Amino acid sequence: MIWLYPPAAIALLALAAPIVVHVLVRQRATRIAFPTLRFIRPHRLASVRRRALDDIALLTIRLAIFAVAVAAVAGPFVATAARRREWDARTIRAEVFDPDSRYGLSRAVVWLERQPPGRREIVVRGPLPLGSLTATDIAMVPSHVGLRFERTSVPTATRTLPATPVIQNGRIVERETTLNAERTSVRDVAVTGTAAPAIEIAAPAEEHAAADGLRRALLNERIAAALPGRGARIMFASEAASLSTVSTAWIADAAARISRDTPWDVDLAFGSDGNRLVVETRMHATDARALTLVHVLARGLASPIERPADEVVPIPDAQLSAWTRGAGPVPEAAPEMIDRDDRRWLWATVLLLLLIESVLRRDRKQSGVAKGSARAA
Amino acid sequence: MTVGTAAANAELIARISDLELVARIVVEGLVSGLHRSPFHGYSAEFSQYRHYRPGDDLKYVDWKLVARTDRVYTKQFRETTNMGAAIVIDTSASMAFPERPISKFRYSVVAAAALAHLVSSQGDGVGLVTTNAFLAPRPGRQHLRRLLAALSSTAATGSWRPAETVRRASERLGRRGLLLVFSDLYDQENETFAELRRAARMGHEVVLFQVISRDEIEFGYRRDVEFVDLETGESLAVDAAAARRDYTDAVTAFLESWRRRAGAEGFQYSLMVTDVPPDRALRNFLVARQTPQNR
Repeated sequence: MIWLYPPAAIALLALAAPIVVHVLVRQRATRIAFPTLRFIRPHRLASVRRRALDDIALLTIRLAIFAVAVAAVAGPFVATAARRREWDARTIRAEVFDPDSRYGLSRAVVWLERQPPGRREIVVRGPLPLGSLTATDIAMVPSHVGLRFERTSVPTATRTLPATPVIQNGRIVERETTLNAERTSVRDVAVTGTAAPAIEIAAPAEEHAAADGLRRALLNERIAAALPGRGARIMFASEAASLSTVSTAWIADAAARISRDTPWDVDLAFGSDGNRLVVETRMHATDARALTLVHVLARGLASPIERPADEVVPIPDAQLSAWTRGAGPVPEAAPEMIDRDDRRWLWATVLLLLLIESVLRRDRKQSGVAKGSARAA
Repeated sequence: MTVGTAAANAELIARISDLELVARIVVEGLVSGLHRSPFHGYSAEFSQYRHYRPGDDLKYVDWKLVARTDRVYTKQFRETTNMGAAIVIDTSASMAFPERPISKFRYSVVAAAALAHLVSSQGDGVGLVTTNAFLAPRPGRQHLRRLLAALSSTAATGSWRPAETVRRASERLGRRGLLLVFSDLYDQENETFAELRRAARMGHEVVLFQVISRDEIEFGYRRDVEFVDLETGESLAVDAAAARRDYTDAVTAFLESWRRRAGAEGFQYSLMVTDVPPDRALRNFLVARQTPQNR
């Protein structure tokens, strides 16, 4: 049995309230010496009267009403054999048409988790170029979810795209990339203007010469040009790590790419200074790796060319066949999958018990009136 | 502290251990305003007429008055000879209730001491009969002191045995005397009544003080109470609030029954509630005694 709202069962603790009250109000009779007992008629003790169950049937019915109502609120669901057969018979399919299949695949997995119980399958349709899906993406799909791939078109044989501009000799050089399988090439297409250094280099006084060399390299050695409005400051031989927190999206993105692309295990601390990325490192400007680090920093400020949808080489059919699999057995239903629970039956039971309780109550009342009349007579 | 204020406070009286002092205080409080001795015997000095009661000696019937009025009257004479009075006090354990402010027994002892003082001061003899003490009625101050000492040393324990006490008192009174009985009358009801009637048949004047506390009348208890019988030790636990109505009905019927039966037999009946100061209770009793219908 599955409970859709298990916390509601806490209300069942209220069933213990009568017992708790009885225990708390239990009192010992005061002992008093009295001249004679001849005029005192036996009367049940108040504490006993409170503790005693006058009508067990009525109490049981009322407790049952409360318990069943609480159970109804908790949303019970019984996974019967018939229901399991029904779930096995149906397949819930998510179709991904998104050109960015990786993103579409993850959205399909999330969507399937919220669907009613049943076999699950994801069908990815599209040109499926190389890079649009990787083994990592496939591994993130739960094993019981089936996978199929339908190539809807063949990727274009060649495609020309703008490439990241570079700075050479103080000028910005625009470039373009021609994707053509193994003959893919990049070429310069225009020189558009004078480049201002986007990276400020700071170093101790004894390393100023090395720092100047790095600055010159920034303007002359075909280092990627930063996007407009972006800048950075790198501080070599820095021990302090009192950087302000990064809160700008592009700075965080750039810091992540710089960390990823740095080829050595070197300590880097990232922060921001207004709309500028600040990087601190213990590396000295005289270090042979300093120029490489500046290159990585420049690429971090540039526009990344990561557009797998533009890829002209398709994922090999053999790979797609290897990833293809059938829908597995229906997993144990989670509360969020249940579209229709069994609470209606419990509410019907509550109504029935209420009816019985009212009949019992009326019966007790009438018998009480009859006893009173008899006593009066 | 004045005698008057002391006499008006039952709780204070309960604390005074000198019974003679208590008796004097009570008597001084109650005799002021009474014009003459409230106790009447039979003597040669005519005092007044009163209605004939069964058991009265026919030689005291005024036949001339009968002829004139068609009603039977008995002549009453002022006591000139020593009158005998016997005080009987119920010393059963039930009289020890309530413990505070004053028990029925202590209240009875104070009232009895006051009456003994009063009777003795008139020159009459007074005696005492309890389950454990007996003093024959005699006049005199020395005897009064012995009686008060006996009263002081008596305690409310055991059970009420009217066949021993009331009968012994009535038999030792000899000639017509005054029998003063203090009891709550809970126990041996029929036997007590039979002995009192027997005393009346012997010609004694029976005065019955039914002593009871306010708690016994109103039953002002609440919640669950386990009542323990002072005499039998039995206990009964009840919801006092629920039991109150039945209890008060039963007690009211019990008291009314004794009042009615006493009246029917010619006893002078007086209900004494322990929260009423003894001097006031005795004063009420004596005033009632002096009214014509009680003579």
